[in-house]
Amino acid sequence: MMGDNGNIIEVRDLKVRYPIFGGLFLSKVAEIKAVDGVTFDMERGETLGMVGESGCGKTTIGRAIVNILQATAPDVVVEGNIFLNNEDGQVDLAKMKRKEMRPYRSQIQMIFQDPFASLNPRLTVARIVEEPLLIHTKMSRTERMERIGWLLNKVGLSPEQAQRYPHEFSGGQRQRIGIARALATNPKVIIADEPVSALDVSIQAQVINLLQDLQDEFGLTFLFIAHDLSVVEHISKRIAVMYLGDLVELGPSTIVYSNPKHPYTKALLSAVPLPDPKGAKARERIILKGDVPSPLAKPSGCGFRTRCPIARESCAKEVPQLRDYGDGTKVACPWV
Amino acid sequence: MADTVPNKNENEYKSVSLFRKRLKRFKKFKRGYYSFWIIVVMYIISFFAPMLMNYKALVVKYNGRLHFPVLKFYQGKYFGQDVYGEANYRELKKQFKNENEGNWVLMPLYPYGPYESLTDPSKEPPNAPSRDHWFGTDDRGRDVFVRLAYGFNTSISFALVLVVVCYAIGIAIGSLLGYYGGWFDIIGQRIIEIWSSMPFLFIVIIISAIIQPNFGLLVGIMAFFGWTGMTYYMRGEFYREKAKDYVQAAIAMGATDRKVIFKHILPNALTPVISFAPFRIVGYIISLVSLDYLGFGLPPPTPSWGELVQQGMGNIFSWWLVLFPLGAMFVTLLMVVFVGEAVRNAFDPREYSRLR
Repeated sequence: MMGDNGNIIEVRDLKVRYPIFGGLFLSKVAEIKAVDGVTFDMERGETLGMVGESGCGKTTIGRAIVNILQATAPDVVVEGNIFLNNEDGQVDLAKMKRKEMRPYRSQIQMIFQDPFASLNPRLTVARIVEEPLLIHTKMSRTERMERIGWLLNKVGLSPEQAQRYPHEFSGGQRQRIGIARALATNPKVIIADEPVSALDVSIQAQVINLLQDLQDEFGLTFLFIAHDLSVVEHISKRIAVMYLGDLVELGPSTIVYSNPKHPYTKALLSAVPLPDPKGAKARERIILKGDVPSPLAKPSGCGFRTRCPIARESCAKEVPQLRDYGDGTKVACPWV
Repeated sequence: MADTVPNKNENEYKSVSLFRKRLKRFKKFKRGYYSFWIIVVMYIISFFAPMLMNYKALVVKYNGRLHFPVLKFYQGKYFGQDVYGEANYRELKKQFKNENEGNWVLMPLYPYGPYESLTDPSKEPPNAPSRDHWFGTDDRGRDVFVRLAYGFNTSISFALVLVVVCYAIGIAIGSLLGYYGGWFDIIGQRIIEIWSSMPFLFIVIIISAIIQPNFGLLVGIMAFFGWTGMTYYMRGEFYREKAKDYVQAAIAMGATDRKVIFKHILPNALTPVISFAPFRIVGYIISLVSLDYLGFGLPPPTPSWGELVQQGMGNIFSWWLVLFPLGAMFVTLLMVVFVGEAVRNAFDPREYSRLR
């Protein structure tokens, strides 16, 4: 199984379901299929962009990879595999208990969306960045302080600011603190869950550039989750498009952006605002009918068929699988 | 904030923690801030009540030797006094003065004790306030002022101990329910609901009717039923904080449950605990007064406010027995409420909803 195929993370048929209990005896009455059988790989050193509208399961995938779903939803059901390829071979993170997962945590870190919620308001920056070092290393206090200063420098903050509290920083600075914390243990993979969507546009560019610089310097692998398509286009080498818990299209971002195949990707990309108003007018806007169905009552067969412009009767029967299109992309639609 | 070493290269920026910010804000609410200090100082002073209000002398110089009757029991005969049992130091003082042999007695500032029956042969107790007895005496001739002062200590101590015990249990259980959630939480919640729907006052009364409770037992009984209230708030806070990203980040880092609970969630979940504490204290003072009033509280000779209020009820025309105990209670509770209001405001994150 080992063999270095260049993939650091291999997600195989990942399913995440949240059962809903109700009734007199709290039996399971329904379940939310947040992620419904997703398969993809992350190559070493690449940035995989993951897009989709809110509620499509992209954040859930990120949190499943870092294995923190159980913390907020003890009843969550995770099926499938999330393989992490490291020096010692391959491990499956999907069903690990928190204790088993601990040794691998230093390799996979996460950057969160809201910089105002992701830092403990009662700890100083030094103590926030110190925590992963305390857990995963045996550094002495002076070594830790040195490393904290170095990390803060790397993310563009000054080491003198280490004794301040998060509320004394701006949103962009806080996000940098979050990045410093994620970098503390020299991770290989960073799950960036909408790291810039809570920031001002001018700050977004700074943080994205910072992430790219850090990637070049440390050879990081990013899973970049976002709903802002232009940001994802800018940063990712490959892009994965999600709809209602399914991966609908996956491929190199240049090809996906220039030549989208799946009807959902087409609609999604036609909604990206263009800087040139003339071009924007000339472009054909695909407006989808209706709303996203609830993940509680997912349509049978293809999840997108209720809104799909090219849906046929057979779409209700069979769940479309990702198939190679030939130009490096994979599409989950048999009609394109 | 004097402890932050000024940075030469930085423009003297002073970092302020959230708690310090709130403390600063608390100081701004003068009414509550001063009430807090008055209560604290009075409470500390009340621990020295035996030195300040006592029928026992502080120091007696007799035949060239110093004696400290506050700390030690002396027979009256020991000082050449013609009484049975303990010496009467007020009389002794007069006696020494008359004898003028170099012996002297140093009495406390207010030379009456809380248990003493100061029967005045000319009048039946209760006696109205006089120069000797500022707040008069109760129906057994005991000095009301002294009993109020001793009762203040009992009341506040009772409330404080009870708050600490109830909080310790309530926070621990509420936190665990909120943190682990799931079935543990559902079952735990149901048990707490059943627990808290027991008719607590009647159980206390029944128990007190069987065994005479002392301070410790009363705290125990009250805490046994009183801890449930706090669990709801802690559980809610833990649920809310647990879902926040900083806790997720800690878990993603591999922090242990213990670290997540104590380092991350608990410090951020204590706001309701702290802002409720003064109001809890008010509540517990009132419940002790009620129990004492009904006669199911602390055993009879103990100076307690409830017992004094009851005397006021029985001697409604002895106005000092009505006015002073109720007045003392009112002023104390009002001050604690002021403190509570200031704490609540200081911890309120919404700047403009604060009452000023």
